[in-house]
Amino acid sequence: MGSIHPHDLGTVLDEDGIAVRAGHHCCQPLMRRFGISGTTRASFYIYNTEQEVDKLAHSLERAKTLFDACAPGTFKVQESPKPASEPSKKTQKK
Amino acid sequence: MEIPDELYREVILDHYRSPRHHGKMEKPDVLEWGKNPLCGDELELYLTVNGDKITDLKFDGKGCSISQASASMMTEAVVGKSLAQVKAIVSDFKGMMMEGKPADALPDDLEDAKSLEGVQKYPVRIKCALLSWNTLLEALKKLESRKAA
Repeated sequence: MGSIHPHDLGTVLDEDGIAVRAGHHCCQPLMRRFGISGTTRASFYIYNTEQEVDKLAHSLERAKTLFDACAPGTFKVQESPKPASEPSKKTQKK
Repeated sequence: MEIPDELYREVILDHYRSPRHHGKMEKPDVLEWGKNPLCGDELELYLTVNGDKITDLKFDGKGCSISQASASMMTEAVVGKSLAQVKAIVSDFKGMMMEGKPADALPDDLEDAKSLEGVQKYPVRIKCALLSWNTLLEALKKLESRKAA
């Protein structure tokens, strides 16, 4: 997800009703070892559906559109983002 | 499924991608560190003070868009101001973030910072927005204790 900060990503996903864990995960030494400030972690379990996975992917794309050009010092004018396809509709068409 | 406009307003993203007064200072009058251990945000704040005025300040560090944009907005709001004015500005900003005072009531110096009003709705993110402002208060304390000594 490029340089998007885990907490920014977590908030965007939260807006879409997706719960993830973001940050240190109580492992600061590991994060230091990797030289990162944190990670965003999505976990799946038996109750998660395929649609929910699509929703996550869609939401990640949205976060990328929102933040991709925004890393400090790397701003570039972004082409108008293509509207991400709505995954649930796709599934219905099948 | 709409973008959280209220939180990530264009003005916030603008400060995030092109932070004002960003960088280090060779010989600051005060250097203060701020850290948010819960989310790993780190901030260095450099101040040049002439008499009663903050004539220049710079910040460096890493963190999420909210913490970086807020720091950038803060530098714009307080540079060139007297220490008393700075304290009043910080207090106004914290009043909005912590006590829910309306953004419209804020002085013009905090024009850009008004855009952070939406952060109120995300309690876990309020501390991101406050990191730089609290670090500035600590820097002022340091300055005052030095003057008193």
